[in-house]
Amino acid sequence: MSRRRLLALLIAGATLVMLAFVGVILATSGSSSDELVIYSARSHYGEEEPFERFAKEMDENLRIRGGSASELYERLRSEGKDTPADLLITVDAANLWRAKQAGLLEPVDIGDKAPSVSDPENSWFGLTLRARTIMRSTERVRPGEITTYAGLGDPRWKGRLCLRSGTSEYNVSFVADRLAKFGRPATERMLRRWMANDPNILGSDTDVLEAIADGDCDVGLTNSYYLGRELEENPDFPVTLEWADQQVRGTHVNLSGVGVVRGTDQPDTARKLIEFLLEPRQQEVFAQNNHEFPVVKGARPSAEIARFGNFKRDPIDVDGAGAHLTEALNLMDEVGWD
Amino acid sequence: MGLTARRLDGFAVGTVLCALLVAGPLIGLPLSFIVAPGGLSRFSGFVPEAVEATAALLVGVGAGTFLLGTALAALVSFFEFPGRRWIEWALVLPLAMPGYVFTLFALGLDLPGIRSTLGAVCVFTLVLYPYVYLLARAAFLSQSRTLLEAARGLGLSRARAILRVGLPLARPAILGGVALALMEALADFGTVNLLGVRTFTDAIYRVWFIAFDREAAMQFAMLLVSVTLTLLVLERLVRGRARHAQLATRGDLVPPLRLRGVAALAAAILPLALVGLVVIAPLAQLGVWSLQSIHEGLLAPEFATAARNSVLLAGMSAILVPVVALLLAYGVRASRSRGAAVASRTATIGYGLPGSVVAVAVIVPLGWLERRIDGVAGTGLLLTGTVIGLFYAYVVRFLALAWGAIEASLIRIPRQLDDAARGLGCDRLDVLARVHVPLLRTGLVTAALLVFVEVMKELPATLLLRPLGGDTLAIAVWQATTESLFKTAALPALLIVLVGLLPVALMIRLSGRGGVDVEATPAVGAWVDEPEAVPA
Amino acid sequence: MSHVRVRGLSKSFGAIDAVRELNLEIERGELMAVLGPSGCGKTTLLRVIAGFEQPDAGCVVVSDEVVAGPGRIVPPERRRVGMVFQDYALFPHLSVEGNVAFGLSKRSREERDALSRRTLELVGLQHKARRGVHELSGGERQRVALARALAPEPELVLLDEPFSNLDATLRAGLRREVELILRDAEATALLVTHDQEEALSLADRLAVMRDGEIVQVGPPVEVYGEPATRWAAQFVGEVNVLSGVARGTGVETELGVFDLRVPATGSVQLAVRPEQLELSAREGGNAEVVAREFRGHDVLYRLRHEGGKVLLVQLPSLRLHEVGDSVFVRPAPSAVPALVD
Repeated sequence: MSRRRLLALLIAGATLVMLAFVGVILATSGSSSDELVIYSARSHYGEEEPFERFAKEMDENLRIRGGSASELYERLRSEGKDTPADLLITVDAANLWRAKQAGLLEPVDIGDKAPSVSDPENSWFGLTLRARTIMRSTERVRPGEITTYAGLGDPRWKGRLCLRSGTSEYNVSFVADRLAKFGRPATERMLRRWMANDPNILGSDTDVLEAIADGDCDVGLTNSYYLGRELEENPDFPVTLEWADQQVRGTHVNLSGVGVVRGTDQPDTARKLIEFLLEPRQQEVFAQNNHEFPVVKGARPSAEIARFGNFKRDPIDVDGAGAHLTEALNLMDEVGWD
Repeated sequence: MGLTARRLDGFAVGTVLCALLVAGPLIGLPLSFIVAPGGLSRFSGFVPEAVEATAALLVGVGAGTFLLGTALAALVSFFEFPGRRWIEWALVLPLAMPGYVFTLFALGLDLPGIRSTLGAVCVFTLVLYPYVYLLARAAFLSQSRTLLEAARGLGLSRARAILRVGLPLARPAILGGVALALMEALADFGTVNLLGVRTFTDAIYRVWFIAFDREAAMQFAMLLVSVTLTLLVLERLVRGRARHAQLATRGDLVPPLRLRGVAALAAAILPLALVGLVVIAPLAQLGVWSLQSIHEGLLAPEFATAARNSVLLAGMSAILVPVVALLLAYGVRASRSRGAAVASRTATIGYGLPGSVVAVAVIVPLGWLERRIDGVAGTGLLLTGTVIGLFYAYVVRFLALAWGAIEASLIRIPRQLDDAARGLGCDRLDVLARVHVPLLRTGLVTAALLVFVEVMKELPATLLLRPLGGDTLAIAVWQATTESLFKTAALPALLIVLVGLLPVALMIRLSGRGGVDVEATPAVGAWVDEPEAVPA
Repeated sequence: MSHVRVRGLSKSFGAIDAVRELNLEIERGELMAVLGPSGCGKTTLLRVIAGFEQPDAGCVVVSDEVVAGPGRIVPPERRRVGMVFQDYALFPHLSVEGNVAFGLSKRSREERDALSRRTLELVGLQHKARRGVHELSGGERQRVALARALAPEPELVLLDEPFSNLDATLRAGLRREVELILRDAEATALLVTHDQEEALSLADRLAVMRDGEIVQVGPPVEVYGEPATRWAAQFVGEVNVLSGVARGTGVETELGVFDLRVPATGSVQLAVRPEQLELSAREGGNAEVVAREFRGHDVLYRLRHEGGKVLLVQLPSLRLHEVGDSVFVRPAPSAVPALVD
């Protein structure tokens, strides 16, 4: 290869690369300012109807960036005031708490449309509720045999208990919430008894439900909407739920919520979306499609969930749970909850 | 040998600067000890577990890949059996299989006890042995047969000659491969997370993703870096001052021994079974699921965009990362400065870190920089909001791969060739054009292929740094699996593996047998070799 | 004016002084050899002249152009100095032809073709022009390396131990060939080696180097016959150092009387070459044969003299003495040893 040929090749190559680079940047970057950009941890659930409806009915362009909560959080932190995001939607209360602590959200006034599950300072609002409660086999466990969270630690369930991994944010929030409400000694006692039953640790809530259905274990702890999904696909699914701790504080209820991102360039549209999502008919879509609980009155839960009736709810103490996250992680690690 | 200059060589300075650019963000890791100290003590319970699990992983995967990779390499290098030519090629295929995809498949099989450290060791060994295999094979193939014949003449059987002469001679290459495999295992997150093994990477994930304690996560990452560095130092010590093995000239290679009967059968079937388990079976399962997902309309949304993005990102990285590595390697060679050499080695350390750590280390300075630029030029999120930040992270993360392949080629160009060319009237650019580029071609292509495959598979850094609309296939897989939607995950996962197979196949063709090719074989991961003066 | 001049050249590597204030001159068309033991700095000297190292002091002048000197360093690619490396350093990705024509890129196509063809014919490899270098034998590779260095018609050709990688049996023949090629090309050449036979047989002039300095320069016959120092005498060829008392044109030693080239008086040290002694078998002689090295055309005997000294004697192999024989050793007729200090 002669020197001249090499130089020519290098220059041509560099130019091509530059062009391609610019092209790629343009193709994959940014949003135009007339789009409403939502950073959403809910995006795993596929294209959700309420958002599509909003886009159509309000003639707005929506762009949803999916991801895990912490990833979205890091991005927001890093992007600062230049962030293209207008809204943040999470699937866990702790995430919202964190975002608010870090000053990533700005308050928005939606008046009386605000559901009861909201930040007192209007920095975030609940969108849906999900209960984390006891799941049991319909075939091998009788009604009433297990009714409390602590009951999962009863020795009769030794070797017959399934739990999701200790890295699941739902479990960590659950433990953090209990720490905030019941204190360390009680929570630690309960967890140690759970672990003493030699639980089967699985990768997802769905895995837990299927393990119970397959007979690998008899009881477990999952979010209610997963059971709803299973029942929707198979009405004869041999697992049912028990609303835990009904005689005590009630069943642990976590939320999926939304907040307006500080520095948004579309505060009005953002507010409109929040109000839209809180309308009973959209709430009902969430409930029907994903088997979650609505946060406003007038929306009915899905048939699969409704059959389990009303129950006493113990909503998550967002601030308290948020503050106990680190302790919860350490505690779970200590007791050996993998 | 080149013009020795007293003043600080321009090349040295340039190389050090370039290396610092790449390694720079990682400064954030030790800095976190200063910025927000005490992270480790907030999660002190995690440390002993992480140490134990990491140690078990290192020992297990080290031994596993060493044995499996070396045995297979010896089999195809020194023996002849039916189907060897295909098997030799097929044994590299697991490189295209991401650990997390294989783990999903393995979990689906519901093997008892897989969700354990032992299970993780098995998964890693099966998926990572190709690193050792490739290097050992290259080393074996380039050994002069006179060495083995000398051993036979001294009374050793063929098998013992291989063990006592062939193996030790190939030791530097093999150890380099083991080091690479271990770095991959250390940096992996998907597999250990799915299998519940509490390594440092898992601790980093929990601390950062769940407790939102970024500083503590970075401090854990520092611990991981120390483990990686220790690993590298140990590897260097064990390897000793390796002299380059006597390279064979054409026609001087070890003639393979033809196997017969049961041995031949076993030699043909066992490797095929291995490849079947690690590659074919998961592919088949993914294929089935993919078909089902298409049939049931469960395709991930915007699947086509994701596919396009994956290929674009991987393709451009395949150009960018080797170029950076080439600049660094060339700068080190031209300047002959130890400082430059050390700086460049440091720049490759990103490979031993989980992608999430690299991403976080990168996003902080980039964010700061783009805010400054924005303040002046109003460019908005120029870096983190576009693929620039992502490419930067890929360079930091995968430089080691490209560096290894290129350095291995560069090392086979003795400096005397440079001198000879200069004595014949070439200036530095001429030397590059007329001597280096032709001889480096294989190394460059291998580097590009390796980076392509890795970027296709990459998940955590892409998650954090991708711009709006920049979803990739790996992200589509991840999003689906977090909600246990395996069928939806299947098609993108299948594509990742299939696309990854092509470069792997090409790579194997390039490192083929026979004469000149063997001498030019870039040893994947020979980056752990220090550039030594080639003996005259 | 000499074609190549080296003046006051000094080069150190850290604490090691490789070359110290070295002076050397090479005439146009001359084949000069620098002979010295390993580590004496000869390769460094070569590399400084080629331009791969820069001197700490002194200057190098090639064809009236200062290529290395205070304030002026010409990079190797502009020095018009060709080099043949010890392991040839042939470009593996180019054919024989490609290698030879490598340094001719700046010439026109016709010139390039003509020159490379001519040089290939000169070394006798025109029929292998298209082959890859890995297909060649060691001797052929050396010739390609030589051709490559010669093709651009350099002012000076440097050869770094060019025969050390070759079979001993081939060496003599190849030496002849290389010498012929260099003469045919009318090249000025500087060859460094540690092999005295090579230096003595090839060179027009020979420079003996030790520890960074040139100890003696001159035609081989002179260097061999009249070594300047005792060390030079011992290094270039074998030698017996004898003490003697000089009286005018003769000198008395324990072995007998030798003629002197230059009259001297008083105690002297003589460098007596093995071929300057002779033996006869004799019972009750003054020495005993301790070892015998048969070299085909001659024999080298190692004797123990009755005075205790070990002596080396070289004789034609017409008649052989056995180990253990008692012999009488004396100066060979008209042997003229040199005086050394």
